[in-house]
Amino acid sequence: MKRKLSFLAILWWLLLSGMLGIGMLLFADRASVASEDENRMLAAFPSPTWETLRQGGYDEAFEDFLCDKFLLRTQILNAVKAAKHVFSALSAEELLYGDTDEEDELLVEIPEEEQTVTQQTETAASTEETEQQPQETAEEAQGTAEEAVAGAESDTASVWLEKRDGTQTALLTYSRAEVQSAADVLSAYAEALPEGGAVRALFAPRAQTANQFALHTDTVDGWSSDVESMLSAMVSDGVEVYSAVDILGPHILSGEYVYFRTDHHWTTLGAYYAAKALLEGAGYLTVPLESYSTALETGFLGSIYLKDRNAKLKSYADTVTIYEPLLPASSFIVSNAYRKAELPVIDETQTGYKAFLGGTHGPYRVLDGGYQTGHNALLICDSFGNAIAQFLATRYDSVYMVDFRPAYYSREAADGSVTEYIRRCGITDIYVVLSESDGIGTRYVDTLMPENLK
Amino acid sequence: MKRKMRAPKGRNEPENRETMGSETVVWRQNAAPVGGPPHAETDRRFIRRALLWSFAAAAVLVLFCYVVFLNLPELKEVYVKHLIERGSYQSAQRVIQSLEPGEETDELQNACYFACAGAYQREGGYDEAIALYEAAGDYPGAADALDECIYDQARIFESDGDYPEASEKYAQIAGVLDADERREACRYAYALELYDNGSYDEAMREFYALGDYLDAETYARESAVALSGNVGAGDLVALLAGLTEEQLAAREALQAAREALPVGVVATGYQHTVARKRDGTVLATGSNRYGQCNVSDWTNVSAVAAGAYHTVALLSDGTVVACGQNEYGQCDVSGWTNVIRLYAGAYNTVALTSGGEILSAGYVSYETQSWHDIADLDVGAFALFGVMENGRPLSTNQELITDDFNDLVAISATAACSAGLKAGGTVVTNGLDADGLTDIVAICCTENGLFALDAEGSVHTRFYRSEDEIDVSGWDDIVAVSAGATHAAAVTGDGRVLAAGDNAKGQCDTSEWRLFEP
Repeated sequence: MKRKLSFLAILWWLLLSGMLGIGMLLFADRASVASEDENRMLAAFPSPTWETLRQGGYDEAFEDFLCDKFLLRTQILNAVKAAKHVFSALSAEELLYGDTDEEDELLVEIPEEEQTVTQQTETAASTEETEQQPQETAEEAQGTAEEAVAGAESDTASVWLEKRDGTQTALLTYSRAEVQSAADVLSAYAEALPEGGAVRALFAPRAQTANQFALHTDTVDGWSSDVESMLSAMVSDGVEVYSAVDILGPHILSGEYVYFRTDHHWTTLGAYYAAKALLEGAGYLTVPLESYSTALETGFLGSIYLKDRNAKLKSYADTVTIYEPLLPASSFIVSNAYRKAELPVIDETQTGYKAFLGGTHGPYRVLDGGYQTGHNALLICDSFGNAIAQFLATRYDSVYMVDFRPAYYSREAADGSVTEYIRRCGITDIYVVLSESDGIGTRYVDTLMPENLK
Repeated sequence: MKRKMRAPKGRNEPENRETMGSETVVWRQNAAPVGGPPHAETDRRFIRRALLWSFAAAAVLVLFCYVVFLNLPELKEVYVKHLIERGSYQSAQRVIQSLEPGEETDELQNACYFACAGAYQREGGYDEAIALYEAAGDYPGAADALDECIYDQARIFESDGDYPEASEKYAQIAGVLDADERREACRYAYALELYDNGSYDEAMREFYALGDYLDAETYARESAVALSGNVGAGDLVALLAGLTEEQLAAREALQAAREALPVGVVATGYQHTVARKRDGTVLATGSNRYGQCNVSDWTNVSAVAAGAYHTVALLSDGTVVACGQNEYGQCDVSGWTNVIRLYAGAYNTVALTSGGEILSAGYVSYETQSWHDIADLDVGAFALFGVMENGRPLSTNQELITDDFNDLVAISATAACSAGLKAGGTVVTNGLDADGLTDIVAICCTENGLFALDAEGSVHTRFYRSEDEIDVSGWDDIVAVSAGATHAAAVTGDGRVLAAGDNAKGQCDTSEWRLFEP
């Protein structure tokens, strides 16, 4: 009897495995899908070629496919991660700011001498309050100029967290070479534009960085950055550099909800302020935020939560505000400078940040806001661009978007360089809106942008 | 190598015997059972049956899964309905989101919204309920339930003494039950409240807006007197409008100058231009992608207007015709009658009737129930703007109206830019430098700037960016001007049509046109 049962068990095991395998091969998504939760591409069903079969690459690719597409994979992974953190000793704050080791590397205390100088300056300024306004203004201007010169001559540039005790902590630090490299790339893009066009660049900190300020306004005075001044000094005339730190800082200080807590993106409010600054810099007025009707999604747990799925972060759940387009807006995938399949502008089937434009799509996409202005723009971005695009679109007939990350972009799919797109799509302005993950000193700026320009 | 089957330990059978159950198998030296295995046939039969039944069961399972797979949407729909009936709206929503988009899914979604809205309404969550009823769209009963919900909420506001909110809510459901009467009552109560609190300025305006409702007119006069402190202080209307007699005189002069100008004689769309000839026919040039230039058979036209991709015309009998893009219903104007003024926005058509009613067709729905005494209108990108007879601005989007928008005779706006023509012939804008613009009789705001026509027939421009400038410096003797983002057109006193700006689609090819002989 035992033998018979064993036989039956093995037989059914084989049958079910076979059925599962066949079912998966028949019904699983064979295409390569970008997983924004895991920030990578999930493997596609491999195409057998003689070369891959002979060298064993096909087996590996097939294994990857099986690993990425097995039944209930997401649920199982979620459960495993949740179980892993049941006894986690990490605090909610440590989780919000990301990997603590990584952050430790970024936190660079300024030398004591500099601190002393800062404190002395503040003291001196406070004792001279009785001086006349014009003199103060002149001194401020001089100070600013000196700072700019100092910034331009320094070997590094940083985004600083200004604490109320008078000390500073570097949140992000870039070397002169990294900034120079970014400046060269931006200048090259400006050269590709027709006369009168401009490149407007804005590098935004991620929420993990910004929230070290936003969630500590009791102990933090603000933040400052000398990155943009260094970059501005290096770029050509056709490039305008905007400081996300300066634009968003006052709003953060006043307690506005500019960054998510459990997601690395800015909120739509943060994106709006950035768009407003960019458009006003270009000489345009923006549509007032109050003009939009809104939809709210509460309980959003974003990428920071999804990274570890630690239940401690659930109390920090975010609210996503969706600003409904005011005019008939539409979006399409663009390849070879032609419009292809239609994409959503606000994807109500998606939750959280993915609702904006339905997430990132490549190789190019276009957003028509329904406005008629006689201008077209190109937005070079990462996922931070998805929230800002609709606000930029109020000033353009069409906003073309490209995210050069390999998960979304390939030169073959784009079927044309940026220069060709500028010419064929009538683009007059370029906006570069990138988060720190894809900003200065990253492969995105140093490699992907230059290699796709021409 | 020889294999031997060993007997179980503790048993005394010889090594070539094996006992299984009640039977004993005798083995040969080479390990094969003596005389053939007595169970072989049974085992084979078992294996055959097991395989047969297993594959049959697997086939049935596959078939079942296939049937389930084919009917999964239907099963999910049944499950969603069950969840909705049970009141588990969030679970239902999750299941709905997993369904493929389509009419059935939309129907389920609307049913879920509708049911959830009902639950909110029963618990007094009117804001949530209203949002959900609106989201339910054309679901059976949703529109009525929405009206009912707004009405209930308005009644609560009213009973709480929050008259402005109540009035606004009643305005949203004009015509439903006694909403109109209650709205008037709320406005009157609010005006009385203002009057009692000494806010005579606001009270005066509220009473004035109420017209002949109860004793509103009397209260309006009393408010005006209280505000001025002088029983015989000037003309009541001037007081109500906050204008001086000089301002009234200037207003009358400007209005006379404007009435002398031809109305609806030229219009610019995004990439097309249309103009009305004196004989009632219409000329068009530029992009005809949506058929917006198919106007050759129009006759008896008394005014033209152009949206982004459509053209509309007011006929002498007060009806309206349209051509071009109708994706959002902007050309569904065939039933309009008694129209005296016609306007077009990017995706909308708006008309003012002889009875003072505002008709609208197109993408945006405007909330204009409370508008009255309208002197002029303008369709912005997504909002409607107007000017009252007393010079006060009206807008469905107050964000573009700044404090200095008063004493107006005309208004013009787009998505982010707005401009008002003041009774004194000066111009106010929400961002452009309007200094030096004096003696202006007509304005036209575009996405990129402002065109202002003065009494001498010159056109003045202001642009946000120098790159967007359209050169009209050579234009003179102009009697009408219209402008879009990238091109502008104007009619001269001798009937010619001048055009400048982008001519990629031939929208500026108007040099041959002659609308009338001087």
